[in-house]
Amino acid sequence: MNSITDKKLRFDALAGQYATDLFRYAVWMCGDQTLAKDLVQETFLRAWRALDSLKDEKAAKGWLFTIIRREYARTFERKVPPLVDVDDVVVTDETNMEPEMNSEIGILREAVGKLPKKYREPLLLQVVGGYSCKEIAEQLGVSRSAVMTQLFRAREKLKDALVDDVVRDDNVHELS
Amino acid sequence: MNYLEFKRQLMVDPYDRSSEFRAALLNDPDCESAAAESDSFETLLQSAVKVPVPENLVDLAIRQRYQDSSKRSTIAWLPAMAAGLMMGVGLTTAVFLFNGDNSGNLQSLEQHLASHWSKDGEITLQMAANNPMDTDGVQRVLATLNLVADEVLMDDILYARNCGTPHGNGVHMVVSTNDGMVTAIYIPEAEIDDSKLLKVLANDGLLVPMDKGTIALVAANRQSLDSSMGIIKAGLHENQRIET
Repeated sequence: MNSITDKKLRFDALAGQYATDLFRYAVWMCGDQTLAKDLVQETFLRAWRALDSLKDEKAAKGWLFTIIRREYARTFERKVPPLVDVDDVVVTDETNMEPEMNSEIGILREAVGKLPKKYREPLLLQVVGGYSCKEIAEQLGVSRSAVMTQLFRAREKLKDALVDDVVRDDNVHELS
Repeated sequence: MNYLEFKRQLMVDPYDRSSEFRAALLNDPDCESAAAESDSFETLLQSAVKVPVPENLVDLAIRQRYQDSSKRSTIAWLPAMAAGLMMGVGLTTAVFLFNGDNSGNLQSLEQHLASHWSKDGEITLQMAANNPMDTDGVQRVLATLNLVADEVLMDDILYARNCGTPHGNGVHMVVSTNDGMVTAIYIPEAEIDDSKLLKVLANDGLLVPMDKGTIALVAANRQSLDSSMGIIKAGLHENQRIET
């Protein structure tokens, strides 16, 4: 197999394996599906150009997330995307779920969208990217203890959002 | 691991289940119920972040390599020329030959570059990293010297401003590459015959002849110079548009 064919196969495997996670991460970071799709495409364009520099396939995921984070910073932080309703951004097939679960997911979704970037980014790297605290710290260039605090606060805020909703519901029932 | 530590672990990294964590889970009913509650929450969270993915996403990603190939085929001469240029530069660094006039130009160009870099090279890199400009701003600066950047290069330029050159005005740019940031200083009045590698204080530098003038590239590593040279040379042109 010649080297260019080999390179194409490597690249296609990376696209198949990581495009979905990169897209989901991008959607939550920029809040826009179209922009997120562009971001993923640009990431893979750059990945293709620099593929020869990726020596260890095990580092591919971190490498791609680094590219997409850099692309996001370069492209979308200087062109602030329009604010959109979170329900317009994330519509999933929830027909098989219990109505109560659907409602909780909706609340969580809104709460994730409202998290400050410093909490949202490490949380997404963990939940979507599957990174450990140490890896997130390396990605973001902050200490591991800072990441642990951010993740703690992110979950705390999300859980508070769920509790607030239950309290609101109880108040409505009492009034009616 | 006590109950409080256990709860904190669930809030920080519920996916990392160490031996201590597992022991607490087995031996403490409170921990067991906290873990069950956390599992339910994480299931909800996973569902919440699960954004539907466009069906053709992987195809679109894979297509990037074809598009890159076709984009590059239009400037197919460039990699070959760049490779040749770099090879030539490598072979002739020790015995670089140029005529008398160019020797003077080159010397003053190198001196100018060293002085320019020591004055504000690092500061400008920091400004670019902290406050990247929008493309309109970059285009406005380039337009002052009747320059335009193509879309690929424009995406990579983080910062641009006018700067002094030995005999006039140039443009000081910061360009982002996958190997790091590169400073590119366009000096319109400087004409050189061939590319030349040089050291700019602790950095690597490369002088590149353009259609008109010279681009001086400075980076912390040689790889960044190589990856940016082709994009800059192919993407930066004089504006040929005739205003009517």
